[in-house]
Amino acid sequence: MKTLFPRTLAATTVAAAVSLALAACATTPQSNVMLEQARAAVVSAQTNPQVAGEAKADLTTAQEALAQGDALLKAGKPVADVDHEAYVAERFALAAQKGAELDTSRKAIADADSRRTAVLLVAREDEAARANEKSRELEASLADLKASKTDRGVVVTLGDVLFETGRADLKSGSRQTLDKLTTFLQAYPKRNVQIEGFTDSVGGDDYNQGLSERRADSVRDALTSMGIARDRILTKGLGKGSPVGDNATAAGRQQNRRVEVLILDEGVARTALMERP
Amino acid sequence: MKCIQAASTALIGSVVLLSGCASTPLAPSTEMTRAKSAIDQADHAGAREYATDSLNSSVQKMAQGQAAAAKGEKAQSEQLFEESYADAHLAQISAESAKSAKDAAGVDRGIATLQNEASHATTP
Repeated sequence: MKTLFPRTLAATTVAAAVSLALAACATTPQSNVMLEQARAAVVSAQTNPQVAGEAKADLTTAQEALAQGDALLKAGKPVADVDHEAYVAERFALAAQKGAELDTSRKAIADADSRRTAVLLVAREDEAARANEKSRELEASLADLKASKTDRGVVVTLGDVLFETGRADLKSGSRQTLDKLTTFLQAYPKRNVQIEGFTDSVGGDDYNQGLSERRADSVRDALTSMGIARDRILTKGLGKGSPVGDNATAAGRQQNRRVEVLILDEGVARTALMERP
Repeated sequence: MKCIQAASTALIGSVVLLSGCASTPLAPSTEMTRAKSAIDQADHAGAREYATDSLNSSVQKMAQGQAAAAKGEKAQSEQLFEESYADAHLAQISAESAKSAKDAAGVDRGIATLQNEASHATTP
């Protein structure tokens, strides 16, 4: 029994030494900070859909270095060697990401011409659409004014129903037509007007001339009172000239007692008087 | 005589010992040449301005690698040259990317101006 004790002690000592040695093996690091950092960078590059082409080659290099680092770590190789692979893996993963950014901006530069063309195309389409819209609006407004297109431009005829016989002041019922004309002139500020007064052949020439001038002025005053600038309007009295109806009949004379508002084309100066043919 | 013999034996022995310690500088390796050329390319790409840290790190690793090579530490120097190369490569791509992003931003501004002008021109 006495001899047994030291033997047991020796065995215990050996066992302790073995377990210590095993413990030393067990604590061999299975993770490495730099390697994990590199793994995160590689995963990030892997999941970036923009990584392609040359950037993809860098990603492959990074993946290979990471795998090598993992293998070295598993084999219990020196930490410095694992760190080295991790370093290379992370740098190449970052290069892959930068490469993807490079590809993106290069593409944006290469597409510049087609992007410019697209911008101009859209602008042209917008312009055409606006011009169309404008022309539709103009047509609608002119139709509303019952304007007719003549060689001299667009003419709105205000019949004698606007005036009492032999008088130049406007009837209250003429308001609606003049309101429409005002709205039109406000919507098209670049269009000037020439207002021409006419009479029938009844009465002396001087009287008719004066009456036709006063009627034209009356329409002008109505427009200016509603805010149309006076310098956009030119008035003219034409007496019994340029009849549109037969002065021998009552209906014809009624047609001849009128004021015509000639709406000039955009930008045509008010003073550029258009002579009647 | 015996004394001289003993002394020379000791001397030879110490020379042998010393030469054992002394290193043989390594010839320039492929890794070093590759890393050096990558540093040149990064520099050319504007890394001094756009990727200073990576370029500095690359140059530093190159110097460390050369020091290790001078001491005959092959494995150590090769690792350092590889890391120098990885840094230089990253510096080059980073610089190219930064410059290209700058150019792209200029192009974007130009297109935005064009868009602005175009929409102003068509506004009634």
